[in-house]
Amino acid sequence: MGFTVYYRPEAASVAPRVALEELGQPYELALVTREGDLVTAPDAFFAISPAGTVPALQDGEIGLSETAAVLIHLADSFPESPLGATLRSAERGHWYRWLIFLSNTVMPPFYAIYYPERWGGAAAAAHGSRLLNDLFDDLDTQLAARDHLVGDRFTMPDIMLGMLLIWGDDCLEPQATSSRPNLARVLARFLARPSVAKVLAEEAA
Amino acid sequence: MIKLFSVPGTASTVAHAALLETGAPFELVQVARRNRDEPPELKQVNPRGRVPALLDGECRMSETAAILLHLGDRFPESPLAPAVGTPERAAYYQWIVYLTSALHFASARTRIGDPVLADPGTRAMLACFDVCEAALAGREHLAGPFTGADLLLHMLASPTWRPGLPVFESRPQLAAHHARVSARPAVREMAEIHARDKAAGL
Repeated sequence: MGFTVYYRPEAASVAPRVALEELGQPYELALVTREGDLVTAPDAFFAISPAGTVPALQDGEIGLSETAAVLIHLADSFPESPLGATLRSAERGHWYRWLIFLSNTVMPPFYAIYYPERWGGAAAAAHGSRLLNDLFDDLDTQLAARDHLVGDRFTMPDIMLGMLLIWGDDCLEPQATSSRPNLARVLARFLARPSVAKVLAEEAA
Repeated sequence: MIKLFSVPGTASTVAHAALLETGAPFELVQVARRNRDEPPELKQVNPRGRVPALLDGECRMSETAAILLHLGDRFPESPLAPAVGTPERAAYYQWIVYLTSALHFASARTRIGDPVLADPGTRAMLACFDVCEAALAGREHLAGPFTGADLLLHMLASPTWRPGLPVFESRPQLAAHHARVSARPAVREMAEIHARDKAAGL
């Protein structure tokens, strides 16, 4: 059985890969490619990713897509892991709130920047950049006195945030962390984790 | 007791229907949109007075999808969430995240009244409905059994969410799903309360 991550290099599939590395779980990789609207992948991918997007995860008989959903599923699968939060705790509520906020508010503006042809061209991309700069200003303030989003440890929402900061440095001008010292610190600590270094090195190869 | 802050007819309807599905006692605080900065407790959950906001003991929640996930955990006997570790549970997570990030996000970018339905937000919304239509072929609900994800889709597909959007034309599965969810006692009760409170000027 085991895990298979459907991925595209440097796409959101980085997040579940980092989570699996942190959990110490071996996994297979299956490549998904995309040209325009044409997605090429093994047939099994389309059964578990209705929208045809990466990441998707096969975990034995369970298959699912959507970054935050995959991270929640992995946390449930390893309830002892510090990456998750105890079911029915107030902390779990925070943990959900951050995963959802990063998914529905911080991640989508990147699509307008990376795929302007789908979202209304240069004006949409500029609008996406403005939204992200406001969001990153706010996050920088919130992280002034702490390194992590939930509790006092590295959890699933921190994996999503780290990935989105990499994207923010990649596509924003000036870079997302260039004048935001707290985000710069959070990103530096993220990049220093062996799990992250390993995944990024493999994807860049 | 759980307290839900809501503005009639908004995304709060999803959290409200979910609470009714649990059968647990709760207090609904309907706030007029213009008065969202008034209830002090609402400001504690969310300084900007965004709704829905849920107070549940130590847990202060905002974000519709996060509230759904919280209520699914909090009431494991309710129909909101399948058991942890099952394929249905995984599908439930997937659909909630997909609907909130792809469909809800797109709906915030529609130009209401665009006669050609060609703006990027509308196109993205209709593409999401196509994904849901395909997923609903051969099953009654998104994750198999009814879950909180169906309440989210129900709201986003409602004729009142984006009036004039041809959601159900040529999408028979989605139309049947909408009718199925509309017929649930919790959803009917929610709809009556919001219609009443809207009519009362809230």
